[in-house]
Amino acid sequence: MTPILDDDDLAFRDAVRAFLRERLTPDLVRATRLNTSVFSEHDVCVRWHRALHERGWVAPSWPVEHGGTGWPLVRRWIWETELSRAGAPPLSPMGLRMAGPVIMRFGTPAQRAHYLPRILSGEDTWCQGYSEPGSGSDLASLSTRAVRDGDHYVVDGTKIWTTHAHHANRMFALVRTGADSARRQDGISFLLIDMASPGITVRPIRSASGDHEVNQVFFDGVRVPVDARVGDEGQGWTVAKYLLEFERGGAIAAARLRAALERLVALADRRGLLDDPDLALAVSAVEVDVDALEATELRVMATMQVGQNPGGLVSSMLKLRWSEIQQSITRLGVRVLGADALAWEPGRPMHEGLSAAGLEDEARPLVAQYLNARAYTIFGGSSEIQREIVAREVLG
Amino acid sequence: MSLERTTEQRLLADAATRWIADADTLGAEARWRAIAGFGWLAVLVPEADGGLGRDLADACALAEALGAGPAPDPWLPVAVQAAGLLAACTDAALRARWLPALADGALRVVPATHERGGRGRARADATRARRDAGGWVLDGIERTVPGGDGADAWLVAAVTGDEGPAVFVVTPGLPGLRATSVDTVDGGRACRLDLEGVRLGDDARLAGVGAAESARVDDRALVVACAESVGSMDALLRETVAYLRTRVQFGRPLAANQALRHRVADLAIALEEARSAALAAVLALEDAARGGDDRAHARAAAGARAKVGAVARRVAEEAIQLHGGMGVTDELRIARHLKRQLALDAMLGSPDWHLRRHATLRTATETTR
Repeated sequence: MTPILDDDDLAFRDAVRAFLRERLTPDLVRATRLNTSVFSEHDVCVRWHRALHERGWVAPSWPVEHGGTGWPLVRRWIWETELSRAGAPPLSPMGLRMAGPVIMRFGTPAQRAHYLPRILSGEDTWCQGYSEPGSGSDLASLSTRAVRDGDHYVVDGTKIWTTHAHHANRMFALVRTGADSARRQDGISFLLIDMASPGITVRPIRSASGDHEVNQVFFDGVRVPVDARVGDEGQGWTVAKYLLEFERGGAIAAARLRAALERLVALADRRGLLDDPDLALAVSAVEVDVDALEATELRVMATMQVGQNPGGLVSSMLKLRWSEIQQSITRLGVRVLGADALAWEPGRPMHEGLSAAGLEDEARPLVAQYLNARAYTIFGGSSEIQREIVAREVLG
Repeated sequence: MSLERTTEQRLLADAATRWIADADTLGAEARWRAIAGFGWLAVLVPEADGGLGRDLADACALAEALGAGPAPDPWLPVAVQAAGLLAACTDAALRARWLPALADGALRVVPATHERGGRGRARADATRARRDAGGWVLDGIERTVPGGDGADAWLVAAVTGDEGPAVFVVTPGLPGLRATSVDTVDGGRACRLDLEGVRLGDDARLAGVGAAESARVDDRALVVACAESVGSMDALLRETVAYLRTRVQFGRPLAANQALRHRVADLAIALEEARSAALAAVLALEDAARGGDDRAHARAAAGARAKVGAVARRVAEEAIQLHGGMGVTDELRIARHLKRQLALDAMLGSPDWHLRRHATLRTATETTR
C-alpha cells in the first residue's frame, strides 16, 4: 500500500535517498545484512545513530520541542520505507522508543533536560530492567526491591533477558518499593539506574542462535538517587503500561519485513528456486500478510496522527502479527537454503568472520536468524499475553 | 493522507446497515426493488450513463454494510461486474440501451462470465463464438449464472478464436437459448444458460471489451467481495462475542474459558487484518489504474482476495464451532454467512486459486486468468 506522494513528499524522499547514499556506507549495510540478533551490533548501531543525529533525523517519532523531527505520517512512512530498502541498521529502541517517550510523558523538567539530549546524541545507551527469573509474562509479580534510605533507594534483586546490558550505561527498571499490598501493581516504581553503580553485575546468556545479546543483571545493595525515579513512588505500573502501548503501537515493522522478504526472493531467484511453485506459493502467502500488516500500520498511524489512541486491540495485534510474519520469513529462509542449512557459523558478529562452507553473504545468517526469531513471539509480551489483551478488549 | 471514510461513504454505509438489519422479512423481488430504489445499482455507473459515478471505495463501503446481512441478492454481479463491463464498452448505442436501465433497476443485466473466474482456464464446454454472415453464432453452457434467473440480459463471455475473448449481450427468447432456474447455496437465485447456435448481430458484442477490460472488472469485483467479506466477518464476530458472554456452561459464561478467549482473539485479529487488506487493495487498484499497470492491478486484487477469502471462511467456520449446536441450525444467521462465503468463492474463484495467481503474477508478463 503506497500513500499518494505530492511534490514536497517526493523532494523529501530524494533528500532521504541522497543522505543514505552519502552516509549509509556499504560496510554498515553488510553488517546489518549479516546480523543474526534482534538488535543491531552495538558499534554498528552507534555509528549509524551518530550519523542520523548529525543530520537531525535520529528521532522521527519525537516532537520537535524535544529534538524530534515532527514529521507527518507520510514522511515517517517514506523514511522507514527508504531505510528498510537501503538496508540501514535498526537503531536500538531502548532509548529512542522507550526511555525517551516515558521521560517526556512522566519525567521532571530536570530529568528531561538531562536524559533526552543524551538519548538523541547516542551518548547514553539504555537497557530495560523488567523481566525477572520468577516474573516473565506475569510481570507484576516482580520482586527486585528498592528500599528508601535517605535520598537514595537501595536496590537488591535480579533482572533477566536484559538485551545489551553489557553495552548499556543506563537501565530503566521496575522495582518493588511498597509493602506487599492486595494489588501487586500498586507497590511498583520506575527507576533510572546508572549501570556503572557499585553492586551491579552483568552475566551473559548465550542464545540458541549463537549470539550474546541478552544477560542477567544482579543488584547487590545498589544505591539509586530518589530523583532518578520517574513518576510518583508506587506509580511505576502506570508508567510501564504507557510504555508497553507506545512500544506496540505506532511501529513501522512492515517496511523491514517487506525488504527482508524481497531479499529472500532475490536469493531464491539467484539459486533458481522461484520456478518451484510450492515455494512461490509460500512466498505469496507471506507477502499478502505483509500487505495487510502494512495497511494496519498505516491505519494506526492515521489514528494517532489525529490524536486518538489506537487502542489495545490493534497494538497487540501488530505485535502478534509482525512477530509471526518475521518467523514465517525466517522459516522461508531456511527452506531456500536447502542442504546449506546444515552449515553452522559459530563466530559473532558474522560480518567479521568467514563462511567455512563458502556460502554467499545473503545465505550465511539465515539459519541463525531463524533460531533467533523464535524469541520474537516471546519478548515484549508473548503471543499468549497479546491474545489475552485482545480477548479482554473483545469479550471483556 | 486520509484513510477515513468520506461523508458520502458513511451515508451510503449507514443506509445499507439500517436496511439490511430488517431485510430478512422481505422476498427477493421486494429486496431487489429496495436495492434499486436506494440507488445502489447506480453507484459505479458513470454519471453520463445515468449513474452516480462513484468510485471503488464507495462501492466497498456499501458492500461491507450489505455483508452484515448476509445479502444473497445479485448486487455485486449487476452493480459491479455488469455495470463495469458495460461502462468499458465503446458502443454508445449499447451503453444507452442498457446502462441507465441497469442503474435505476428497470432492467436487470447479469454477467455470465464467472466460469473462467472459478477455474483459471476455459472449460471444454465454455461458450464459444464464431463469426457467421456478419454476425456471430454462440454455443456453450453457462452452468450457474448468479442472479441470472429472470434477467433481462446476460453478458455472456465467449472464446472467439482469432479475436480473443469477447462479451455478448444475450437477451431472453432468442432461438437456441434456454434458461433454467437454479437455486444457489447462499439462498439466492441463478440460472443455467444453454446456448445452441444462438445467432447475434455484431452489435450485440461489447465493443472495446477484451481480455484486459474484462480482467480489470474482475479485479474490482474481487476487491468489492473483500469488503463484503469484511462486513460478514464483523457481524459474525459480534454475534459470537454476544453468545459467548451469555451462554453459561459448567457454571460460568463460555467467555470465561481461555481456550475460547484466545480463539476469539484470533478471530478479532483476522477481521482487522482483512479490513486492512481490503482497504489496501482499493488504494492499490486505484494506484495501478492510474499508472496503467494491469499486472499490479491483477496482483493486488488476487492477493487481497486470497487473504480475505481465506480468513473469511475460517472466521465463519469458527463462529459455527463457537456457537455449538445452534451454529449449525438455519435459525441463526451464522451458517448463512458461511454459505455466502462459499458463494463468493464459487463466483469469483477460491482463495487458493487467487494465491496461486498472485504467485504466478510475481514474474509473469501476462495476467493469468
